[in-house]
Amino acid sequence: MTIPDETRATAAGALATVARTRREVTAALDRVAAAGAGAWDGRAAQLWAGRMRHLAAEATALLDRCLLVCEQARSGPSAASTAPGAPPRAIG
Amino acid sequence: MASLGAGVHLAAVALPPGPGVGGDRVVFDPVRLRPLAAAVRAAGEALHSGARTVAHALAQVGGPAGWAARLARLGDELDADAAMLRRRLALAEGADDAGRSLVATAVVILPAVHRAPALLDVRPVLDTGAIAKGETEVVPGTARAGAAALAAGRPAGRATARSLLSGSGAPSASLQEALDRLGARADDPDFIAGFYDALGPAGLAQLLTIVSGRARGPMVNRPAPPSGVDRRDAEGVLGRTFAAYTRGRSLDDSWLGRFNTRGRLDHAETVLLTPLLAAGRVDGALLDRLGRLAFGPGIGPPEPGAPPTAAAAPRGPTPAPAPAPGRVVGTVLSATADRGYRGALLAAIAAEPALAARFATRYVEAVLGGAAIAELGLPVAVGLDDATGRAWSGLIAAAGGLAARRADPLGSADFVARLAGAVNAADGSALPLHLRAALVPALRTYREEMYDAVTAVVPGPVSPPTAAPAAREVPVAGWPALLRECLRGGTLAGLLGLDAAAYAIGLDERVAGRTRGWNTGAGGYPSSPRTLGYLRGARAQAFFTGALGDAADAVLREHAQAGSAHRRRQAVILDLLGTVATSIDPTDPTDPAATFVHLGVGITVDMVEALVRERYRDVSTARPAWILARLREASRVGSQWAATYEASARLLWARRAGDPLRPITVTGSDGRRRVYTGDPHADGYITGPATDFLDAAGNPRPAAAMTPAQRGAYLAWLESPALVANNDRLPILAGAAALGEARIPPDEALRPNG
Repeated sequence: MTIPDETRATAAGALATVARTRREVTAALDRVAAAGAGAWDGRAAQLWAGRMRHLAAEATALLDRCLLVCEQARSGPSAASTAPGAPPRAIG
Repeated sequence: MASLGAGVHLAAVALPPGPGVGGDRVVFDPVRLRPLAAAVRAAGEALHSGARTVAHALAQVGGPAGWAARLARLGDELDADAAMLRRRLALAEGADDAGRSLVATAVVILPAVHRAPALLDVRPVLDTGAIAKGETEVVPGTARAGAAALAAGRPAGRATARSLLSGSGAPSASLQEALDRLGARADDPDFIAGFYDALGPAGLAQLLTIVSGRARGPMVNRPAPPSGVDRRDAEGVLGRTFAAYTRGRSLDDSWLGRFNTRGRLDHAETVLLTPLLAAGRVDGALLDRLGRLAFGPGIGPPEPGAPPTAAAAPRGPTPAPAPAPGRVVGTVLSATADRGYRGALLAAIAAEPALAARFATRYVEAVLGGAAIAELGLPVAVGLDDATGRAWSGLIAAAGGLAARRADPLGSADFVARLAGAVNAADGSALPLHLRAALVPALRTYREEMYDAVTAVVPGPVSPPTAAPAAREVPVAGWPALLRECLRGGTLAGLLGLDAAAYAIGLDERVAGRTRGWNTGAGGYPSSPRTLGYLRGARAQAFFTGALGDAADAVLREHAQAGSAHRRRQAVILDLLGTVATSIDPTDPTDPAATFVHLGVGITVDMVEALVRERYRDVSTARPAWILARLREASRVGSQWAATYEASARLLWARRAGDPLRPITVTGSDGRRRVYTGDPHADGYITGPATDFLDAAGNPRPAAAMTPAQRGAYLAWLESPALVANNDRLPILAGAAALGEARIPPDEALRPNG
């Protein structure tokens, strides 16, 4: 089965967009982690920091899954196989 | 109170435990917190724009749309966190490290909330979209108030609070403005709700700290920076509006847990509420909550007849078991710090009739115990201090009052039963005068029940009860103890005496009203159908004079004991001094006994002893003893009288075959003529098996074996006109009651005109 070039180009553009988004979000979350160290202390701060880590991990995992979907769309027609219930996979 | 173990409670809600009590403290670095808040906000924005981009990209490749929505939700969370951080920043800058000044006054709260978001305090207090949704359900009348009020009142209140929170460092200008706006709209519940919702518990604590001019920071003795507002006015405005707010909102433990200036989630700096408690009527459920925090759970069921607001509030994981009485005494006694707050709290509870009795019931034993210990005057600080003791007395007086009975009949009856039991158990311990005076309202509110109980021909509960259920359960021994201990204080003894006379007169009038025209027919009844009423009235007054005599007796005994103890102590001291003095001889160190013997040390001791004796001579007990003897004479209508009457009535009934009872026709209080035959069936006292007090042979069973319903019917039958009028022994009984040295019936002696 031949994949039309137009679709490939769209997928490549989406992949680039998502990759850029991932970089921006990761950088923003890194800045939060850096600014959080020493700004406040105590149990509430610890709990909050833990929650931030979870939040960052979830956002990154989500974007990773988006990247995977885009990559698969670019490389082949098996994009539909990554259904929403698929386990997250870290890449890159 | 602060030592209850701060770290335990947070661990109990499945959150990672901190490194200990020290780890609970939140330390802010405003210089670093500001970039953090900015970074969080930037990250939120990045997630929002990323979500839009990703949604577009995934749509192009046919990916799932839910991921982008999830990213947007994460962005929402970050936005909320940014708002929370900005608020904390504003508080931190205004607080100037407020944490250290109020450590001793904070109360550890059991966080009753299991939801992590509430504990994490991430709910955006200033971004009240979520709260506004709930408000229409919580504040009564808001739903009907319409969108106009919501649009006008609530956001305006929020904006006012926000202007306070955003002001950093020197809030005086905006504080005065905000208070003016709040005062001007004190009648607008929407404005108030918006204001306090936006302010939040932590913001309110901060505001109260500033207004009260408390010193903040490590050097608590330095003068606080001037708040720029008139403290009294500000507290008045805040008190009135906060009281209105508490009545519209159910402020639960999670709210109280955040009510502090340290950013903690499990401490309530309740002492900050002191000025507010006096300024307005705070909601009863919140007062109850504060009372439990301040004085512990008390004794008894956790919340007997609690209002639905308190019952619906979130509870702790497991209800604490009722502590032993000694521990509760400890809890009440440990209330030495923050006397002003505790006094204000107790006064506020006393002013809430629906709460006073129910609240006081839980602590009455502990208060009596604590007050008695304090009255011993021990040299160490145990027992209730004077101010707290007086505040408790005020609460006990309010709990026994008429208003409390009207507002909460069951709670009031519970309270009086518990109070009588506690006083009876204390058995003449030394109670302070103000506490004795506080017993007066309970005795006056329940005077009918008390005298009904002590003058009843047959003791024991009756049904249908003429009084509230629990009050009838006051053991008959409880009433004289309560009356005696009250009279020992002397306060309002005359009023209580008038009550006894008024009861007798009222009873007399009631009986006369029930038996009008009894003598219009052919006469010849052995006695008047009103004789029993007269005897019961005399018994009521004899009961009072008996209690008065006991009280006077106790006071005299106490006086004598105190005097002899004092004399003994003096004698011992003088003896010791004399011994020491005789062992010294300044002229000859080698022979101490030489000169002082001649100086007459013994005479000196004698002289001092004579002085002591002289001092106590002026307190004569002759007149009190004489009065006491007269009282004893007046109270001769003993309790045996009732048993004698009951026996004679039974005899009358048993001989009805040979000596038939003569029917009597009277006009009742309803104006109808009615014939009483003396037969309990015919006269309508026995209406079925439930009220049938006769045995198989047709004679009354022993009163103790009757059910309350049967006993009630039996009592009514014993007091019925036919049975009283046909009783040929009553004149003798009445004569015996009037006999004695005084030669006057006791009720005449005590009647106001008598």
